[in-house]
Amino acid sequence: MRIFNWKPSVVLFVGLAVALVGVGVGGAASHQAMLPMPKGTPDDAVLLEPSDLDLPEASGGPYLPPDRVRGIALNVAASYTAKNDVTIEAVVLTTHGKLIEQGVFSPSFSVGESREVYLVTLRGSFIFTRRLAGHPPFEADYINIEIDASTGIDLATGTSKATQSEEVLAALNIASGTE
Amino acid sequence: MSRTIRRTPGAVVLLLTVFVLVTIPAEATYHAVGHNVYGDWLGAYAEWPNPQEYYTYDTSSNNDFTAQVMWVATEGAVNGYWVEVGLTKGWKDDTSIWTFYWAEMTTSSYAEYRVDMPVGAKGDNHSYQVQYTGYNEWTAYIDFQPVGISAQAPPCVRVDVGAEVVYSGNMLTTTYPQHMQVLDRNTGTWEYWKDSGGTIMETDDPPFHWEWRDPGTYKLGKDFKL
Repeated sequence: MRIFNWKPSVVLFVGLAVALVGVGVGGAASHQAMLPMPKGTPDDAVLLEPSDLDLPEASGGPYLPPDRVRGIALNVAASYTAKNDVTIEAVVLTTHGKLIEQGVFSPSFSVGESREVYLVTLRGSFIFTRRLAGHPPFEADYINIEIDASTGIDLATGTSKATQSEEVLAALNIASGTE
Repeated sequence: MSRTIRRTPGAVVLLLTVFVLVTIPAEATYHAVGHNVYGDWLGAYAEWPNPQEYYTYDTSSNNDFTAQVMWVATEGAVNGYWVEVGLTKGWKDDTSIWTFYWAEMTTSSYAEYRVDMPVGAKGDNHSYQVQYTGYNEWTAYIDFQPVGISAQAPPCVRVDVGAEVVYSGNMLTTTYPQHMQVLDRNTGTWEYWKDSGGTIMETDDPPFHWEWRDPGTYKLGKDFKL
């Protein structure tokens, strides 16, 4: 049964239009390897996908004790403030992937999504000095620090307020006994 | 502090750019950068060899660093939102760390990410790229490997390449960013800065300065301090 009595040329035109729209909307993101490469780059250079990376995944422990994590976080936080008003609000054992899922940090690729990390949230008077020329330093009264639970390396620091939600903190937590 | 290298039509645009780049106080850090401004782009690329490790002094700041960076402004704004990727000596509270990193200033927050890739030796060449990969996402790459994804809208209208320093006494070693290119949104092709349709400028916060080594192609520059 024919629902539409369209001529073949109309069908072809509509099909082509749909295909072009599809390319325009989603094509740019569909596969980085298809994106053009800058001039002068090696002929075989392609942009890798995150899935191509071999990243450290879950270690299974042992994890740094929370007191040690607090010390690392306070040292990191001290680099963003000249004041002595920093307080730790929460220390949560979670995973790198959950921090991305909950919008605490953007995707980053130094560790895999299953890697166990500590999230430390702090209050204080913070100033981020890295900036685009002409832009004032960014000030914040609340920061999140991501620390690799096995190595103690600080992976990221940011100002998302997502972690001010108790529901988000609960969703992040993968262990009992964290603060 | 800022001056145009190549005059382009549109005195108003030029004056506005100078206003934005000069009148906002240059607090906290010093820049020596080349700008490519007022384009319509979906990506930026530059490469440079590792310099001799910078010397970063630990002054009253606990966040002292000396960095060679590419900044890509997003959201169609000249100043306000960006993705940056680069090489830094000094990371947070440790001035001895020599590492790649990326950072983002979005419409809702700011964040900095350490990149766990080997920096290599002096003279090793690395490429730095930030490209729109669809769905309001920009991906930052080092040596064509993704290091982070930032949710921000296109297009990019400004790209900076150069150095950022916390303390004016920090020692910069000469670097030569090259092959600086932008991805044209309309043609989908990469163009060297000179062919990109943008306005080429520079910002130097004394005592640092950016020196165009090849003004014909804007291929080479350096950040320099005796």
